[in-house]
Amino acid sequence: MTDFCASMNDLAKICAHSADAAEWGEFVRRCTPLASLVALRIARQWLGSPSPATVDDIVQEIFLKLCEQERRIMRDFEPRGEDSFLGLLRLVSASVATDYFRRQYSAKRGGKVVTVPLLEEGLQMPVASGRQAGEMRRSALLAQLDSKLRSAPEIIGERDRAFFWLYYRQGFTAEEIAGLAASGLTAKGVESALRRVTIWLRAEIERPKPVEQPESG
Amino acid sequence: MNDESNPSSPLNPQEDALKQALDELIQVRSSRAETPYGDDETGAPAGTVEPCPELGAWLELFGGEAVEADAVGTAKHSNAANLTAAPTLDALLAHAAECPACAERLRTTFADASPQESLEVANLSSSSPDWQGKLAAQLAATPRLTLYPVQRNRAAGKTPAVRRPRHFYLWAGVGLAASLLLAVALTAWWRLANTPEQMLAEAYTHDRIFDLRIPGAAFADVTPEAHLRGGATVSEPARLQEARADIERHLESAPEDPHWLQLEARSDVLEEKFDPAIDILDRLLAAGPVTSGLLLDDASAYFQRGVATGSENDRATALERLRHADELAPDDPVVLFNEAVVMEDRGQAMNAVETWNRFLHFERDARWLADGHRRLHALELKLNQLKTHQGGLE
Repeated sequence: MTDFCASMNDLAKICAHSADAAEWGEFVRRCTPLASLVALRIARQWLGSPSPATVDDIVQEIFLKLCEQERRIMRDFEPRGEDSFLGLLRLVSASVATDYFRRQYSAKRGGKVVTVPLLEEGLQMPVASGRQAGEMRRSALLAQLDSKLRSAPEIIGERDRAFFWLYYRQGFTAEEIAGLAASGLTAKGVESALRRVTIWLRAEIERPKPVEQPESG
Repeated sequence: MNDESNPSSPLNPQEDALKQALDELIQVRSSRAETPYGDDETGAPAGTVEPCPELGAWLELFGGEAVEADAVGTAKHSNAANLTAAPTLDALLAHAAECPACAERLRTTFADASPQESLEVANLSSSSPDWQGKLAAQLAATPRLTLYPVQRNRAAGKTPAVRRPRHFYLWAGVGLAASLLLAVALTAWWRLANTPEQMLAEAYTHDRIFDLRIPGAAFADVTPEAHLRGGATVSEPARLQEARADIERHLESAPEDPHWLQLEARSDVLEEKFDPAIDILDRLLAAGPVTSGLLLDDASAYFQRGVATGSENDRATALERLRHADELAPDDPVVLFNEAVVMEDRGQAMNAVETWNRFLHFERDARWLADGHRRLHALELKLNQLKTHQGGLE
């Protein structure tokens, strides 16, 4: 019997044992947008501008992966939160899509033959260019900033530090950080935390250091 | 986030460089706010980045369950032991903050769709209902482990629309079983109460026209004959007619069945058609096996014909049949009752007294017992009178 009002988690558990095309139709209808999105993004990473047919192929493989071994992934799924199946679907989609392109490229290169560069990239360029030197210097400065953030764990916690770098270096938005269940904050909360860390860090940089007195006598 | 400027005292070169690095970081982030998925040019990871976690570990950040992707991309569920070895949430966050590859993977997998992406996804063939319907039919036909409905609901975490207590089903089952038993018992009772034997017995009791008993009949007073022997059956009891119809139906399909022939003969006796009854019963006795029931019915037919016709021979044959039946079933009160009656008729008063006493020993029905006592008392009275009369003569 079709239960279109079922949550995503319940629908996944139903379809794990169902031969009802209507139930599967509802499942596919709800899951396809997410699977397509992840497939599209990963296809872009590999191909730049993938064809729609390629993305459709990957989407089909994603659903077939869910049904492998008598639908083991769906059977073993245990809900850990509202619509947590969609999180699992994202991971399966990413895994299947990545594997899809690995297979394609592996086949093009002659199957399981693995190409290993004769020399490490760094060894091929013994003398660092000017740009590399700048990047190294910037990286060192960022490491110092990170060191300052780590120096006051009672004020700047590990999570706040991660938020700071996710936002400023990895380009996450406050909404995306808030979307991580581990953050435990709303977007506003994330913005507030970022503001607090930034103000503290600037103050820490500009804080006058105590002048070292030469030892006498 | 906006720059938090803070005019301050002159900084040393190291502090100034740090301040510039922070400003640059904020500026770059602000400049790419409109294109948050652009290339990261903020520099290499600042600290020592640990090995990247497995893909499945990232699901922990989203409140899902941990899975790990093996070499072929199969999502596997991690058990508790795996989770202890897996990075903590803070460590995952910290790693993503320092590792561009993992940050990109995180965004690729878990970020919501941009309007442009939503448009592209909507234009894919896989978004069409037709494509999805075909795939759904294909998936529904894939191998699966079947579950019973209760398991299925449990697996889906569904609660029945109306939650019934567990013992509801127990009581429902007990009720159903009791109903079935009652139905079976009623059917058996109805069939028993409507066998031709029982219908003949009821017809006998309803209109008892002679002294001799037939098997299974309840006690009734003998009513005087109000019709000619072997005449029309207009006034015959309905149960007798029903029994005859039933017997005839069975004989149509099995004309030589001894059981149904015996019942037909018994109904003939009740209808006072003694000749055909004797004809049937003698034939059955000759064919064998000889039973006390056959002998009983044959004796009744002979005796009633003897009474009706005044034939001493028939009544003597009746007594002979009853003696034989007595030998086969010495504790049958119906045989003993009829034997005592016929003995009385044949003038064997002493034998009749003895048989009546045997009858009283085996009979359990109160009314037949009372009838037996009355007949014995009457016989004893007659014997006493006879003795007195003989004494007077002597």
